[in-house]
Parts: sequence; C-alpha cells; structure tokens
Amino acid sequence: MDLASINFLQIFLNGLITGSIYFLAALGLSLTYSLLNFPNISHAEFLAFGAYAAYISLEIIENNFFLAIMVAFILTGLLGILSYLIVFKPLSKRGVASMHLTIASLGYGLFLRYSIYQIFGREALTYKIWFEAFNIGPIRVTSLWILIILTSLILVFLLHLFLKKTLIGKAMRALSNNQILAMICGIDKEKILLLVWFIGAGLAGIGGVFRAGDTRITPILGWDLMISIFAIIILGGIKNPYSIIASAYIIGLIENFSIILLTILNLSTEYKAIIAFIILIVIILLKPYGLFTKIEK
Amino acid sequence: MIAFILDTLIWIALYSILSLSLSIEYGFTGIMNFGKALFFMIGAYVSAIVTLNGLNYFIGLLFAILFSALIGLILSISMIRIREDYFAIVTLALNECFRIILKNEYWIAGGPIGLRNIPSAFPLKNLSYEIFLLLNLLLIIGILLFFYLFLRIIINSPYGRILRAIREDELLTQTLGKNTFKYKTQAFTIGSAMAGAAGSFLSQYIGYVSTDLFLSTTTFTIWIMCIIGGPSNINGAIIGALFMRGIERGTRILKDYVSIPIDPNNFMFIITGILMVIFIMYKPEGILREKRMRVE
Repeated sequence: MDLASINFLQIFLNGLITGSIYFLAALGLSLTYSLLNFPNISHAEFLAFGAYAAYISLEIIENNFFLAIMVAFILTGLLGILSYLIVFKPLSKRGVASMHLTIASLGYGLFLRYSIYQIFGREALTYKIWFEAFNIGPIRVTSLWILIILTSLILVFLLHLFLKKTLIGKAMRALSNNQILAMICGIDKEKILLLVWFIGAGLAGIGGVFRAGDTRITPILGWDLMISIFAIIILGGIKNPYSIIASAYIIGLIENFSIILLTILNLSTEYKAIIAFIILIVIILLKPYGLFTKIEK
Repeated sequence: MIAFILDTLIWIALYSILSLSLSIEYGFTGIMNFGKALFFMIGAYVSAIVTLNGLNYFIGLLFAILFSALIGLILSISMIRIREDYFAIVTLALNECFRIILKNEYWIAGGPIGLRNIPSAFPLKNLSYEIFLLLNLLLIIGILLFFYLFLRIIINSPYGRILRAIREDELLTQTLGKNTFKYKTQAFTIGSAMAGAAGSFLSQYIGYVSTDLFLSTTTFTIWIMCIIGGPSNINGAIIGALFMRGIERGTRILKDYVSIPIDPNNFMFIITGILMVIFIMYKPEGILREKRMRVE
C-alpha cells in the first residue's frame, strides 16, 4: 500500500468519531466503577438498549433523530437507575465483595442482552433515516458524523460545567475522590449515585444510538466495543472524568490509525480490537493507575 | 430415546469438568477467570489439529491438556499479580482476542469455517449410534473421574489449605511465609489444563470446531453452573452442571409439547442471567456449602 495515497485527514476524522462514541460509552462505566468499586460488565448492554430505544422512537415518529436521541438518553438513564435499585443497591447493602458485584453484573448483562434478542430478533436493523454524505475538501463526511462530533463536544462542555460549577457535580467529584470524607461532610451518597447511574447509562444510550447509526443495530453492538471501553477506563485511571475523555479520543485515534499498519501488514481490520487489548495490557503492567494519575508518595 | 439420555449425560459430564476447573480457580483460590472459554477453545483446536494430522486421539488429548496448561501458565505468570478486577477484565478481553485471531487467520485452523471432519476417538466401523455414545460417555466419565479424584486429594491436603487461605486473605497468607504467587499460578494452570481436556473431548465428539462455539457466553454458562452448585465444593460443581443442563434440555423437550412464545436459546440465557443475580444475592455459597477438610 502506498503511503502517499492514504488520506490522513479522513482517518483523523474517523478517529475523532470513534473517540466520541467511546467517550459516551466509557464515561458512565468509569463513574460507577469509581463509586461502587466494581467493573459493571452489563454497561455494554446499555448501549444496545439505547440503540433500540431510538429505533422504536424513529418507528413511531419518523425523521426526528433529535427526539430519538433524547428518548434513548432518558430511557437508558431510567434503565440505569432501575438496574442500580434492583440489582446493585441491594447487593452493596449486603456488603458483598466487589468480586461478587462483578459476577452479578455479568449475569444481569446476560439477562438484558438476551431479552433484547428475544424482543427484536437476531437480524440487524437499521434506522429509517437518511444521513446525507458530502465532501469537504479531501474528506468525506456524513451529517451523522457532524452530529456525533458536535453532540459530544457540547456534552463535554456541559459535563465540565456540571462537574465544576454545580454543587451536585462537586459532590460527585468529592465522592469519587474520598467516599468516607465526602459522606462525613454531609453529602447524600444515595442521591448522587442515582444521578450518576442516570447520567452514565443515558450517555451510553446516546453512544449506542451513534454507533448504531454509523453501523447497524444489533444486540451485541455494545459488547463489540467492550475491549476498547475497558482499555479506555484503565488508560484513563478510572477516577477522573477528564482523563477518561482524553483517553477515549486517544484510543479512538490509535485504533483508526492502526488500520494503516494493519493493511500494510495485510491483516484483517478486526485486529484493531487487539491493538486496544495490547494497550490495555501495557497500561496495566506499566502504569496500573492510568496514564494521567500522579501517585502521591 | 436412549441416545437422547446418553447425549444429555455426556454434556453434563463435559460441563462438570469445566465447572470443576472453575471451582479450583474461583471457589478455592479466589481467582476471577472470565476467560474460561479461551482454554476450552485452545484444548478443542489443539486436539483437532493433532488428530487431523493422523495421530491417535489420546495423543491429541495429551497435547490439548499440555498446551492449555502452558497458555494458562504463561498468562498467570505474567498477569496474576494485578488487581483482581483488572485480571477479570484481562481474561475476558483475551478470550475475544484469541477468537478474533482464530477467526481471521485461515492458516491456523480454517478461519471462520473452523475445522471439520475431526476423527472420533473411536474410529470403529459399523458402530451403532448408541454404542458410539456409550463409548464417548465412558471416556468423558473417565476424564471427569480422574480430575474429580485429583481435586479431591488436592483440596483435602495442606496444599488445599493454603489455596483456601489465599482466597480468604492473601496478605495474611504471605505473612505466613507462603509464596502466594506460586500457588495462584499453579491453581490457574490446573484449571486451564482441565478446561483444555474438556475442549479436546468436545472436538472429537461433535466432529468440528469453530470459533462460534467459544463465545464469552460459554464462559458465563460455566460460571453460573459453578455458582449455583457451590463454588467451594467439588460435588457442587457437578450438581450445578446437572441443574443448568437440566434446564436447557427441559426447555427443549417442553418446546416439542407446548408452544412457548419464547425462543429456547434466549430463554436459557435469560434464566441463566436471572439465576446468577439471585444466587449471588441470596445464596452466594451455592446449593452445596463448603465442606470441612477431611483430615486423615
């Protein structure tokens, strides 16, 4: 493959889009991971759930993609709250080890995924909406891609305002930083946790809609991203939302640029999941607290 | 009808081995292995490749055990020191990675099509189907019995006591002067070898292997068997396999007589998921509790 023929700008754009979807998918997982101290494996199913929620919305009210995104956000957020209240809250109340919470999340994820299979069937679906494609200079974009990048930029900005300027956001950061100290200061952990599950799952739902719009809607749509999402979480050091956003874009860009390498080596592009896995292993072995975390000595 | 019963028994024994192998890792040593299907897969592929090259099945079985033990050893030496939740994530991801590699590299084992026409362990001519099943059943029960007795000796020995101590408090065990790293890698290697043996049997029994047989849902099925039966009890592992396979076969039979509005495969996994949460919530020790050690 000739290096000169590669459209680097296009790959950069693709990386940004992948990164945006990853950021939406990973943020909720990192929030619940840092607050409840276990990797919620059923988080992947929230993406699929969001994608199907948007699908139903588009079936009922056609051609209104914004409404579909909102529906996906709210419904998946509610699913997140429900999951917390039904499964994870009773478990943490019983004081089970984080190991058991992980196993329970695995079972719960299985339940969610196969319920979706049962309701919508095995065939991949597509949204009944047409995303226009056009050229800007040397790169080809679709209206969906512009929407993805704009939405995630707005969400990053809103999230920043929320975390830094509002009292609830500050309480949230305090909780993930030092739970006992925050609770002594009178922060209501339960209220914050409900909000965290709502926002986290809701964002994953939006991520699922974007991913589904970019590819197709299948029940394993979230599961396919799982390796990359875990790589992001661990690269970002779990606790800090800002480093999660940064590492989402890093992984997104690396995966897309690795396609060049893979095509030069004549390998399948499915291997980009393995690239994410290698990053995951290297980070765990060399910098287990994440790329951006400074360890106080 | 006899064929159906024999087939069911074979699958129960097969999953009992897998469930037992998780029991030594998770139930006794406390290692979170979410990549069980990986070692199952390695055993199946290695054995299939060996027997397709014209060697006897039992050589294939030996190779499968050794090879999956080797991979388990390498993985645990390099990774077992990390935090347990990270280890769970790594094993889960590694399973998917190996599957992607096997699916895309045609030269290893046929890519997505997999390997077909794997010779059976009993290449006798004019064999009736029932006799074939009976021989297979004897073979798998032999393998199961071997591992069962092996684990029974291990867990009732001072060695087993150290494994349990690691599960309860690793730091404390270290302060008692035990090299916990060594014990954990050994337990993981034993578990991997057992899963490899199960995979080897599977490949010769059904006659083909493909990557679709070893999705991470397979791992989850093994986990639920282990948890329902009782992770820290070797009889429990078998009870769990019996229970879950019973549900699976039961829904299949039920489908022939009553029309249920739900696909049996989906139903199986939905039930599995719900049971997993319920058991972790109300009965994390499973149906059979951990026994006291038999000291002779």
